[in-house]
Formats: sequence, structure tokens, C-alpha cells
Amino acid sequence: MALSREEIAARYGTALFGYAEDVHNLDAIHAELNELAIALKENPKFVATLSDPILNCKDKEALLTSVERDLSEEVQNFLNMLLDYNRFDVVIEIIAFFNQLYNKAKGVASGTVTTSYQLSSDELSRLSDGYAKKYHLSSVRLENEVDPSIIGGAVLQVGDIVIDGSVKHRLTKIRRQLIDKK
Amino acid sequence: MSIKAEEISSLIKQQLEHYDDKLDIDEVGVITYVGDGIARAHGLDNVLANELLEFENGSYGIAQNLETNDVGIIILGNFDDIREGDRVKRTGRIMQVPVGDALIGRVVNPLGQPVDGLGEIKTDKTRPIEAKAPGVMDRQSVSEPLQTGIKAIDALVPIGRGQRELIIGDRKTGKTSLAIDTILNQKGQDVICIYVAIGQKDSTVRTQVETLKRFGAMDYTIVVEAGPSEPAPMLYIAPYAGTAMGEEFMYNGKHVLIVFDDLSKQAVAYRELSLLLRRPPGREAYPGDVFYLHSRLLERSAKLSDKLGGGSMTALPFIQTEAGDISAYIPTNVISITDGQIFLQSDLFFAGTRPAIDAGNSVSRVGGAAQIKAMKKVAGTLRTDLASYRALESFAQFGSDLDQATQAKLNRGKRTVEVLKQPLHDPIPVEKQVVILYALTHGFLDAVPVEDIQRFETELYDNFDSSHADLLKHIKETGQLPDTDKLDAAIKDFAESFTPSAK
Repeated sequence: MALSREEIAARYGTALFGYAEDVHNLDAIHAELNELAIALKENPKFVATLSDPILNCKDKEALLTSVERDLSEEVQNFLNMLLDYNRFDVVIEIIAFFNQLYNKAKGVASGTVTTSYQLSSDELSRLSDGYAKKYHLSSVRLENEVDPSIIGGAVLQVGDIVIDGSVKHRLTKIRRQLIDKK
Repeated sequence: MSIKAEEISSLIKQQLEHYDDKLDIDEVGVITYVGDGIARAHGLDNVLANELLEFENGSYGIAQNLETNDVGIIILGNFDDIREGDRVKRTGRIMQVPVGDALIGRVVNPLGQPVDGLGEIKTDKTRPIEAKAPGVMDRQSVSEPLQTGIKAIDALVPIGRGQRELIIGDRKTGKTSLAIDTILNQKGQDVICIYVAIGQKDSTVRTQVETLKRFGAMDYTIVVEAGPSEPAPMLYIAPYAGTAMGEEFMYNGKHVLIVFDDLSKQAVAYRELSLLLRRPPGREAYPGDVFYLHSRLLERSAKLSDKLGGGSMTALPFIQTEAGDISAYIPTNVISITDGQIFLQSDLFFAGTRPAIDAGNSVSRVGGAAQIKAMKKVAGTLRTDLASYRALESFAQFGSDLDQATQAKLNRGKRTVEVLKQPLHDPIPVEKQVVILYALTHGFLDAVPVEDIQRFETELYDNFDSSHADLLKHIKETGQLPDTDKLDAAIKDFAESFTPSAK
């Protein structure tokens, strides 16, 4: 059975992360890959060309070489390898998986906090510090979303974990207790 | 009726006192696909297999497939208002159903919720629907009989308490009636019955419930119902839910009879959701674990050791065959799991032999040990008699000059078939079965015309009830045959006074 894109991304991502750790250049590679990801997302045609099976290998190599000139040697190797193995179409997923591993290793997480009004930056940082402390993370980057329908309080979502402290949720709970118990 | 405002507010206040204002920390996933009773969700990284999940609309689901990037969920209940992009929440629990005495006499769905309109079921005990079967040392061999009240079964394929006996046959061959009659006969036998209807027409189930009520059998029966209009996951979990309800009684030292009507529909429901979950199909498009589906269910019916209270759960699973084909996939699977099978044939059924039990193809692998001594003595030769009759019958159709021995065999065979016939919803106590079979095997019926056999039988029972109650009592209490001289004399007296109906 053919591997799914997620499985391929997981394998290549893990390998890339291990390699970056071995060459002690994790942060630089991480920064470079994220720059690359932004550029690739902006130019989907570039990825499509490089993953096109009909095009000549030599042409694709030439195209890649001209683009990757400014990148570090490690990232260049990585991109060349992807081209050799015909896996260039999953490059964005691989970088995403690499980021997951990087965030886990560094204790970094990001998520959203939903409130009924715009939080000040001080409130936001207090929230993220509190969350980081609770889950033993080094830093949490939170984005603020405003949704007046939750009435008050806050809903925090980081990864799969949701902490619901909204007034709306509490009211639903009270409602359930009053009505469903009967 | 007026309600005072103060009363309401004091009530609300009371309720709110118990309101527990803890922050809810949930693990959630996002639904990426929903339809046909299943959903897929992204996220839920730490979910466990078979964990109960909660959807935003209040429905529950069970995590079935844990894959690299998503989780396959079967939805129990309403899935019309679940949308792609909705959240689904872990509960940290596994699927459980309410159990206990409060369920007896009720009709419930596979989630244990009442569907009979008789109000809430008040019980605080629950059991997981998937549980480990009792281990090797927790069991003992089957030794007590479970009387079905059906002569053909109690004599030829006896069932013991804790046995799993498959009932197999085409549609409309009397499978359900067999089970209902068996449940009716458990009255006063200290056996709790559970009737699990899987994919049976709601109108049929209603009729069965009415029958059970009419004969007073709902006093010791639970009906678990998953109708054909329910989504496939409900049909799939129904037998496990029924078994969980039975286990509660079994582990408390009681005896349980559970009927699965029928497992072929459950297998079809499981096939449906397995295919929707993209599990690879195998033979007849059933998934690879369809054998395990039934083996893990039926293994939970057992006779427990005395240390565990000696309770038992007897299972009567049903399988519907197509045109008598018992070598299809699901029938062969379940035949190999169970301790024997009762094969019902449509030919016999339409020829008027009801119950339409095919004696040649029906066996009970452990039941012999669970027959009372008296029954063993009178029914010992019955099976061979019947088999040789069937063989001779086809011969005798051609020739007319038959020797005396063959004639006698044919005569006896015809009467045996006649004696094993039994009307619907009329279970016969074992002591009376012994008497009529004794009369048959000792030749007292040979002189009675075939068309009078059934009248002879009922009149014989009446005669014994009124003038030979001591003999019946002896069989019932000791399990042994009474003094044969007395029994012979009693039957002979009656046979002489019996007047054949005028031609």
C-alpha cells in the first residue's frame, strides 16, 4: 500500500530533525526552513514544477540549484535529496512536521485564546505565562480571537487541549444540571 | 395547578448548591468527515481505542480506528446535526450500560435507555459493554439442564446452563418462536432472560413483547432492541450491551438466558461500518475480524466456578441462512464457536413438522451431561430411531412388500415424528416429556392411529395430572424414572381406555 502524505512527512521530518540536531545547527535550520516554507507557499507553481514526474531531472536540478544558492549546506542537501527521491510534493508537510518536533523539543507551543473583548498585551502574556507554567513549557504564543457570543471569561485552545472558562459554557452546564436531572 | 415562584427559586437554589464550578479541561479533535453513522476526526492524539467521545450535539461515539492522522469514530445516536469542522471531545471513559434488577421487565435500546415509555430506569450500577470473558479457572463444565419445554430439543439436543447453542435456519422457519417458547418455559425456574432483537422489525418485536407479557414472562425478562431504522453502530453494540446486562446477574450467582436474534444482522451492520471506516474487506466483504466479533461475544456466556458463585449465562445465538446454506462464512464461523447447533429446515416446517428441527444435523456438544437421568434413559434411542426412519422412509416410497421388522420401524418412526411436534407457546414440563417419550419408546403408542397421537398425548397428561401426580412428582424431584411397573401400568390403563376417533 502506498504511504500517505502524513506518513511520508513524519519519516522525512524525523530524519531531518535528527540530522539538524547531529550537526548542532537546529535553530538556524529551523529559521531557514520556515523562511523557505513561506516562500514555497507563495509560489505553488515552483513546488508543482519540481514534483512533476514528466519533466527532465537535469532541468529540475538546474532550477533548484539556482534557487537554493543562498541557503545553508544542510538545507540544500535536504532539498536535493527530496528531488532525488521524488518527494518534493510533500516538502511543506515535512517542514510542518519538523516544526512540530522542534516546538516539542524546545517546549514551545502556540494556540488561541477566545474572549469577548480584545485582550491587552499584558493580559495576553499573563495568560500565556500561566499556561506555560501549568504544562511545563518554556513559552506559549497565544493569538487573541474576539467572539462576543461567549459572554465573558476565556476559552484557551493549545493543540488538542481546550480549557473552557467561558460564561457561556458555565451557563450551559448549569442548564444541563437544572433540566436534565429532572 | 399553580406553582409558587418561591418554590421554584428554592428548588433552583438547591440544585445550584451542587453546581460544581471547576474549569473544564478537554482534549478535542476536529471532525473532517461525517456520514452513515461514522465520523473521522483530526487531532485527539491521546485517545484510547474504544474510548467514548462526545460530540457537540450531545451524541456519543466510540473511537474505533486510530490512524496516523485521524481517528475513525462510530456514532451512537443522532448524526444529522454533526458537521464537518465541529469539535469532538474525549471523555476518558469507555462505553457503559446501566445494569441491575431495575431493568427487568423493561424494553431498552442498546444504550440502556428505556423505549417502552414506562419512565426512567433507576439504577446506579453500570458495566462496560466490552468486558473480558471469564478465564479458564473461573469456569466449570456445564452440568445443570436448561429446560426449553420443547420436546424435540430437550430430548435430542439438550441444552445446559452456561452452554452456547446456535439456532440456525432460513427465514420463517420458527427460530424466534423457539426462543420465545424457551423464555416462556423459564417461568419459576429462577432464570433471568434477555432477548436481544437486532435489526428485527419493530412491529415484530412489539408482538414478541406482547406475547411475553401475556404469558407473564416479562416479570423476568429484559428486551434489548435495536431496530432496523437505527444506525449500524447501534445494531453492532446491541449484543454486547445485552451481555453486559446479563453478566451483572451471572457474577452475582444467578442464572441467565440470553437470546441474540439475530447475529447475521449484527455481522451485516459491522460489515457496513467497517467498510465505511475503510477497513480492508475479506470474504463476502466482511472485515478480517468478523470471527473475533462473535467469538469474543459468545465467550462471555459461561458457567462460573463455585468460587465465583456458580452463576451461568446460557446463550442462544441465531443465524439466518440463505436457502439452507450452512457452509456460508458467518454460519460456519458461529457453528465453530458454539457448543452445538439446532438446525431448522424450511421443508420440514412446510410439511407441518413444527418445530422444524432437523435431528440429523442438530447436535449439542455438552448438553448430554446436563440431561436428567430419566430423560437420558427414555431419549437414548430416539435419535437413532429417527435417523433409521428417515433412511427407510425414502426406500418405502417405492416398495410395497415390506417385512415385519421394517413395517414396525416405519410405524414407530411416524409416531416419533408426531410426538415431537408441538404447538406454539405451549412448553411442556420435563416430567411430562419423560412420560410421553417413555410411552413412545416402550411401544404403547404403536397401536394408536397416527392422527390421534396428539390427542392421546394431551389426554395422557391430563390423566397423569389427575390420577398419577405422584409419579410426575417423583420424576421432577429426583430426576430418576419411577418404578417401571407402576409407570407401565398407569400408561397401559390409560391406553386401554383411550378411544380412537372414528374414521
